[in-house]
Amino acid sequence: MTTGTLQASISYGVGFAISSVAAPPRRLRHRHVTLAKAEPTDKSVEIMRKFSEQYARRSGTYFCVDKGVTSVVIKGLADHKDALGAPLCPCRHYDDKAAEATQGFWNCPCVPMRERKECHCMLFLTLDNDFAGKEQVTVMTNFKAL
Amino acid sequence: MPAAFSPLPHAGEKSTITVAIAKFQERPTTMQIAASIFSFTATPPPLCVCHFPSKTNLPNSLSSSKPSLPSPLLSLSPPRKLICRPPSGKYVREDYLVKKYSAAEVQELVKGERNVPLIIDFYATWCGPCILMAQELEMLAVEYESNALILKVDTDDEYEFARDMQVRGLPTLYFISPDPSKDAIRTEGLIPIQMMRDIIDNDM
Repeated sequence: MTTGTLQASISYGVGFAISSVAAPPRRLRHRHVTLAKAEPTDKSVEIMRKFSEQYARRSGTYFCVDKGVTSVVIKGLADHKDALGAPLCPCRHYDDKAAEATQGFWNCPCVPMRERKECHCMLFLTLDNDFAGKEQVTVMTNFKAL
Repeated sequence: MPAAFSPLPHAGEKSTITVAIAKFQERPTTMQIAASIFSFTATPPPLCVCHFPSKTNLPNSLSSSKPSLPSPLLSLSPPRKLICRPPSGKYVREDYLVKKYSAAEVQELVKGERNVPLIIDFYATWCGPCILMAQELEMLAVEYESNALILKVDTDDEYEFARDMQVRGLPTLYFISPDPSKDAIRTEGLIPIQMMRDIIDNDM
C-alpha cells in the first residue's frame, strides 16, 4: 500500500464565484448540450465491452477488482458513442462534448492512457495499482445510476 | 511522490489526483488556482457491497396465520438469545445520506449561515470512480453525522454550474469551511477516506 504525500499550494489571488443570488437562467435552448441518456444501447455496450477487453490485453492492463466500476465506465463509453459518435471519456466534465469528441483527445483510449497508461476512469489499470484485479475479461453487471 | 505545481488542470496532465486550494470570497473576481498534481496510489476502500440487512424486526407472521391449529413449537419455543445487539436501523433507509442537490440549492447553502463544513461531490452518471467515491462519502456521512454536510451535484444536470466551478476530472470534491476566511479545497479524482477526514478535521 503506497500513499502519496499531500503537498498543496495556497493561492491568495483568487476567489471563485458562486455568482449571484438568483440562479443564472438556463440557456439550454440556445446551446446544444449533450446530456447522458438513461441507458445506452445493448449493441454499443457490447462493442465497448469487446473493445475494453481487447485494449486491456494489448496494453497489459487489467480491470478493476470492483466490476461495477468497469461496467459503469463501459456503459458511459457506450452512451457517448451513441450520443456523439465517439466514446468520449465519461469521467470528465466538458464545456462542449461534441467538440471534444471531434477533437479526440479524450476519446477512449485517451491520450494520457495511450502515452502513460493512466486511466482515471479506473477502466484500464496497471498491476501496481491497488485497485487492479487479475482479469482482462469482464461481464457487464446491471448497475443503477447514482 | 513529489508534487508538481501547475495552473489549472488541462488536457494532457495527470488526472489521478489534483489538489487545489482556492480562497473563497464573497465577492469573487477572477479565479486562479495553483494546483499541485501528484501521482497517488490510493488505498482501496473497503469494497464491500453496501447491503442493508433485509431482516426486519417485524413479528413472525406465521404465528398469526392459523389460529385454529396452535403450534406447540411456537408457544413453547425458548427465548432467543441475542449474541449481539442488533443494529438500530438508523441508516437503513431507502435514500442515501448524501443527497443530490441542485445548483440553486448549493448556492443558497454556501451563502447561508453554517456551522459545519460543506463537502460537495461533483459526479456524473457513468463515471466509475464516482461510484467508489459515493460509497466513501456515505461512510463519511455516517461517521460525521451532523458535523459535516455532504451533498452531491450531477454535472450532467447542472452543466453550467459545473462549468462555473471549473470542474474537469470526475469526481471532484469541494471542501468549503464554515469560516469564510478559510480557503476552500478542491480535490480531483478518487481520494482515500482518510484524506477526506484529514481535510475536514485539520483544514476546515
